[in-house]
Parts: sequence; C-alpha cells; structure tokens
Amino acid sequence: MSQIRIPVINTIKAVKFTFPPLHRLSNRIPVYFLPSEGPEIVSLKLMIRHVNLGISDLLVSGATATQLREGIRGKEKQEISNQLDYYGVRFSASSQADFTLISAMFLSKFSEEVLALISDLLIHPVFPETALNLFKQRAIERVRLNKQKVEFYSGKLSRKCLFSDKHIYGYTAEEPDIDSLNRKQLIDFHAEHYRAENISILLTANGINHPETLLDRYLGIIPKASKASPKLKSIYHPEEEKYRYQQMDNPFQSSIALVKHFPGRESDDYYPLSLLTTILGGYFGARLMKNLREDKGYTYGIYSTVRSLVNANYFSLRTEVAAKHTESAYQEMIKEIKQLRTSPVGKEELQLVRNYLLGAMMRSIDGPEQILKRVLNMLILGQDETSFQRYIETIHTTNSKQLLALANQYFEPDSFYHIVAGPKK
Amino acid sequence: MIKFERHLLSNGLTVISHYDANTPMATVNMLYRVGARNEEPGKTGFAHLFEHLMFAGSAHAPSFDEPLERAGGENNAFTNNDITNYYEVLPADNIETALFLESDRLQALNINTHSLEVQRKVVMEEFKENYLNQPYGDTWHLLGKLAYKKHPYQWPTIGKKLSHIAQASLADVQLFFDQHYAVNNAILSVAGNIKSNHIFRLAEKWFGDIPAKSLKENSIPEEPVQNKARVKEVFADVPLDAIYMAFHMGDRMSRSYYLSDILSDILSGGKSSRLYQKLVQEKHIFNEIDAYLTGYLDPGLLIVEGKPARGIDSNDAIKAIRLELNKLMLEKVENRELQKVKNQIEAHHAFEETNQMNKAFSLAYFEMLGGAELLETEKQYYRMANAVSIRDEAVKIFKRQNESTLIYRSNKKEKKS
Repeated sequence: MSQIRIPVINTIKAVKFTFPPLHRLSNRIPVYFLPSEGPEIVSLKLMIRHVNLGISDLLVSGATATQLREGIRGKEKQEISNQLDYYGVRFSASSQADFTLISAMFLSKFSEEVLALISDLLIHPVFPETALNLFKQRAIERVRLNKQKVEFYSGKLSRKCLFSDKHIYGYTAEEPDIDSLNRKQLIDFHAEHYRAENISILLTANGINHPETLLDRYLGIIPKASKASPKLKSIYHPEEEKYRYQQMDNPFQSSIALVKHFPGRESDDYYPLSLLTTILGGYFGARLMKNLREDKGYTYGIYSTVRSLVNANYFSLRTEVAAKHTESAYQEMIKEIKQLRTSPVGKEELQLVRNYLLGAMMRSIDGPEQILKRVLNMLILGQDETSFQRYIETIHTTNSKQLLALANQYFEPDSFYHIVAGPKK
Repeated sequence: MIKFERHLLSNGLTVISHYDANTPMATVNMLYRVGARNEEPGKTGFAHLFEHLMFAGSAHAPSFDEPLERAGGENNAFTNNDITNYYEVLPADNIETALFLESDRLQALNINTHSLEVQRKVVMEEFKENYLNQPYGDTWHLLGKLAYKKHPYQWPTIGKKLSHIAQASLADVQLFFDQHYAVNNAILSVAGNIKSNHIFRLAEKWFGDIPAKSLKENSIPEEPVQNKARVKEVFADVPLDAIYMAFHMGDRMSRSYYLSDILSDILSGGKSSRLYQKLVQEKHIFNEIDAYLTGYLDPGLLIVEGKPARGIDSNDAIKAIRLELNKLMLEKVENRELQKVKNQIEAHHAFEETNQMNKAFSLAYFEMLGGAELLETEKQYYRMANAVSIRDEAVKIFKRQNESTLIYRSNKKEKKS
C-alpha cells in the first residue's frame, strides 16, 4: 500500500466536433445523417420548430404531438398502436415552448414499414375526440399530483417571475386550460406547424442501404406551407417583486430557487458565465454540493445551471432541503454566491473544472446518437458548429480575474429572484 | 451481440473486458454482490447507506470525486435489493485513475464519525425527498411487507424507516463493509477504447495484491409459498386511488422469469397491450396502468399497478384486472401477439447495446448471474417461448392465493364527497 503510485492524469487537449453532412429531401427538409456501428437499429429524430406561439399553444402543441398516434385517415387508432408495437418501435412525441420533438428507434429490418407508418401519422392524423378526452383527464390528474410537490411551486414561480405568466416561457397550465382544449385547436396547430419548412431531421442507422432514398420516399412528401408564417419578436416582461414565498402544509422539505436572466448567446459573457455557474453548482464536486450536501447534509442534491431557450437564457439554482434547514440552507447559498464576488477562484479548482467540463463535452459527443442530440440542441438554438469550439476555447482560456469580474457584474444577490416553497415561516 | 473477454485474478476478482474502437471513452463498472437482501431486519438501509460512504475518500485519495473530475470523468452508483454497483466514465487514456480509485477505496476507505454523520443526514433527506415527500412514495414499504413475510425483499433499499439510518453506528457500518466488500465478492468490467490484455494487466496491477476475505455465510431466508390472497388498504393524501397487485414468480435464473416477462409485456408493453387497450382506451376504468417485474435475483414479483379513473371504485377496477389475467390463464396467446412481444424484446435488447455504460453494467450483471455469455443465451430463451408454456406460467402465478393487493384510497376524495 505504501509504495502506491497515483496515476498521472492526462489533461484533455482537443475535443473536435463537426456537424454531420447535410442532405435535403425533395421537400427541402434538411437531414443530418450519421452511420452507426454495432446493433442494426435506426434512430430518427424529427424536430418541428414552433413559430409565434401564444400561451395557450403550449398545451395545444403538446396535445398535438401526443395525439398523432391516436388515429390516421383510413386507419383505426388500434391499428397504429398495434403496428408501432408490433415492430417494437420506441416512439415518443413531446413538445416544449420552442419546438416539438418526434423520436423513433427501431430495428433496421423493419425500416420500410415503420417509416411508412410515421409518415402517415405525421401527414394524416385525425385527432379523435375520445382520445383527446382521455388525454385531458390524464393531464388534469398530473396537475393535481404535481400540486402536492414543493418543487412544482418553486419551478412555477421561477418561470412566472422571469417571464410573467402571460408569456409562453412563464406560463404553467392549470386545470381549466386543459379542460377547454378542443380538437379544432389540434387540427389548426398541425396544419400550421407540421410543414416541411419547420422541420429538421436527424438520423443515425446501421444496416440499411441508402437511408437518404428511403427517407425521401416517406418523409420527403411532407407538404410545404401554403404561405410563410411571419416571425415576430418574442417579448416578455419580468416581474418586479424579487422575493417570493409559497406557503405549504407541513412539507418534509422546502424547495428553494434562485433565478435570473443571463445575457444572450451573442454576448462574449455567455460561455464564461456558464463556466462560473459550473464552479458554483454545476457538477457533483461543485461548491454548493460540497457545502450543503457533503459538509452539512442539508440536502440530497443542489445544482445550478444556465438554461437556454430560443429567446432567453437564464441562470437557475435549485434544491430541496429539510424543512427545518430552510433558512440556514438559503443563507449558505447566498454566502457561496457572495464568495464568488470576493475571492478569485483558485488555480487548482479552475483546472479541475476545466478538465471536468472538457470530459463532459467529450461524453456529450461520444457516438452518433450523442452527436445528433448535441446537433439537435444547437439547431433549436440557432447555433452553428463554431459555437462548440467557442465554448471549448472559453473553458481553456478564461482566468480567475475574468471570473471575478463576471461574478461582480452578474451575481449581485439582490439581482436574483429568491423563491421558496416551504412550511409556515 | 457484445463481444467480451474474461480474466480471473487469483484472489477471486473476475474481470470482464469489452473493446470498442469507436469511442475515445471508457467505462469502469465495479459490481459488489451485496444489496438490501443482505441486511438484518433491525438494521435496514445499510447497503445503500454504505454506497454513500464509499465516496468519503480513501487513504491515497482524500476525495473520491476530485481526481476523477480532474481526469475528465464522472461517476455514480446505485444500490438495489441484490447488488451495489459503482461506475466511472472517463477518457480512455485516464482509465488508470478510475482503477486506482476503486482499488484504494476497497482497501483503505475513510470511514469516520464525520463522514458517517453527514451521509446519514444526506440519506435521510433522500428518504424524505423520494419516499415521504412524494404521493404514493411509501408504496414499496407497504407492498414489500405485504408480499414477503420472511425474505428481506420485504423492505426497500432505502430502508424500513428513518430511524434505522439515524441509528447506524460506526461499528455497524464497519462490520457491513468487512462482511461484504471484498475482491472475491466483486466483478470488474470495463467497456471502451482499451484492449483486453491491457485491461487485464491493469487489473492485476491495481487489484492483484488485495487479499480475498472470508465472506459472511449467505443465510437469506426463503420466502414460504403464499397460500391465501392478501389485501391491504391505506388512506393517504393522494389525488387518486391506486392499486398494486403483486404475484410471486420464479427467481432470475428460472424459466419462470422469461415467461413472466413475456406475460408482463402482453399485459402492458405499449399502447396496443391488453390492459391499456381494454381498461384505459375502451372501458375507461383506469387512467394509467402498467405491469412489470421486480427483476429480483431470488424469487421476485410480477406487479400490476394502476390508477382507476375518477368515479371508478377500486374494487371494480381490481375485478377488471382479474378478468384480463383470467384470459391469460384460459386462452393461449395468438401468434401475432406473441410475435409482437418477441419483436419488442429483440428491439429492447438491441437498443440496450448502443450505450457503453449499459454494456459495461450488463456484462458485470450477467457474469454475476452465472456467466456473461448468458446475455446471448437469454435472447434464445425469449425466442423459444411458446403459447402453451406462457399460458401454463399464467396459471401458476395468477391464481388468487398468490396475489397480494395494496390499495391506496384517496383522503381527498372522502373530504369532497
């Protein structure tokens, strides 16, 4: 034991990333394709960009996505589910404020049959009334279930503070909204959004010949829009009140959140701020985790991150803590934020975070499936491949002095929204 | 198919290697054959608490995480009723850092009053966050106790109660470590861009000198055959009633396991499955419904769980489930339906093989079951299953005396009506 020689750690120098080759279907839909090794399977992601959504569209887009498989012209709904299941397809369809994502993973030997089916449900869904009613019931039950969780309230309040509940980014659906959903809204949403102009496809496959030809046959026939939708600037109004407390009935835990707007992706500060956020609470060994979990045992986990949406970026720091430790945990969080503003990040710590992040970047592009996930994210945010390299450079070059200056500019404690859902004070 | 090579160290450590040239990364997976089933009834939650303590640092690595993060890696672990599993994912050329860390904590873990004190608190917060703070969070506490009377599967990994964790002493955890954490009770598997002979050399270097231990005798009590249906009803602050029906089935290596797995897929594998089609879509008796296996090493459970739609009485909902189970006991499943389930299983196996972490874990897990070759053999078992053996299995497990049913009744509904 005593003569043990601790292994030398190799620092990560280069992480290279390029977009996969781009190909266009007959209807001009861009396809990013990467061949894969290993099992003979296909993984397809189809992203539909949302344009000019109002708050009610958040629910509508989600309902539209999940109801695609409930029935298509000329086919009973059981038939679609039967076929998707028969071929063992892992199918999912969901939406967020900025986009809808349809994903399917299946055995290559069933490619023809599965793509024909997916083509049908993207182009000819009928959105039957009965299935929609069932969807509504289930959505309402989910809302009721969420209302028993402290983290639901801190999340809801965070979004409301940042964007107001009049904007799609700040809005949380309530029971009456779900109740008033109707079939016509889904049909209209589908007609406007499920159009070639809004769609991007990412594909990885092993064991199929000419995937481009195959895709073109089934997805190259998705129609184009009759007229282009004008793109409006999305405007939101953050709320004034910075300190919020939501009182709950005797919870075991409180949920605490600190959030604020961060500068846009075009700003030189965007990537360095991401680095600073990581130092504060972005990985298991981060300051907040060390302090609140590993030193004091207040919480099972605490994380800070920068969230990026098409029209906004914000800092978010969240945790659930033992109810009786609410105040002390909150004070420690503020203390760690102040610490970033007063003492420079040490050399050792900075080097560790650099390597950790570079390793994380390597993992995030390890294999075709991971690469396409990364590309998808970049397409949604309108980034090109140079942004990846910019982030890598930032990780390598940002120094303690710059981080200290950034902390002073952006981490003034009063500039955050302070949100707590917890027991009676 | 996952290709692998195997090497056995003289101290009893099994090493499995899967070489993949298409990645710059590697995953190190260290599986210990110890889980909640190895705990004493009065000291539960220890296997999981111990998993937390394994990150407290060791003689040559005061922090477990720091060197790994410095090497561009990340790590995590999980505990279930049968095993405790640790893994690290990092750039392949830093693999030795992961092996050093695993080796060092196995030989010279820092267990002390402070680390125990903190991890007790963290685990208690985890207990609150995932089990007490969540609606239906105590399901496994209630259902385990209902279905198992002797076997330690009656308590969940987090432990029976908070007090067991609060009272864990340094001597307790030290004893637990000495009894279960040993090279001859572990399997090391590595997947990634490192050639097998290199891995085996490194394994010898980092683990070869660690002496084997005499392990605690495996004295896990067998669960007696259940011969009467059991029901437990609880009133709770939950938005909807919920039903959990548990049926005893065979152990992980038995034929019963594969047949039960197929049964659970016929019942709820996808939206075309019987329970979903009949009870959700057609009759609107349930809002959601699912059937799955616990996947335990010793004889486990097939569970059917569902939330009845508002206005549906839970007793009627249970009857509706039984009707579907009866069909499986009386009629053979049709060819097309069976082929569907087999396709789903084939697809599932293929999807699992795309992820390096999954591959490393599966190899270690199947090696523990009896040999990593079983990963392929198992696919054969599924392919071979036929309608008659599936019906026979249904007859065996879905009989009434083998059923344990837990019903949550919503307090909220009571107050309103």
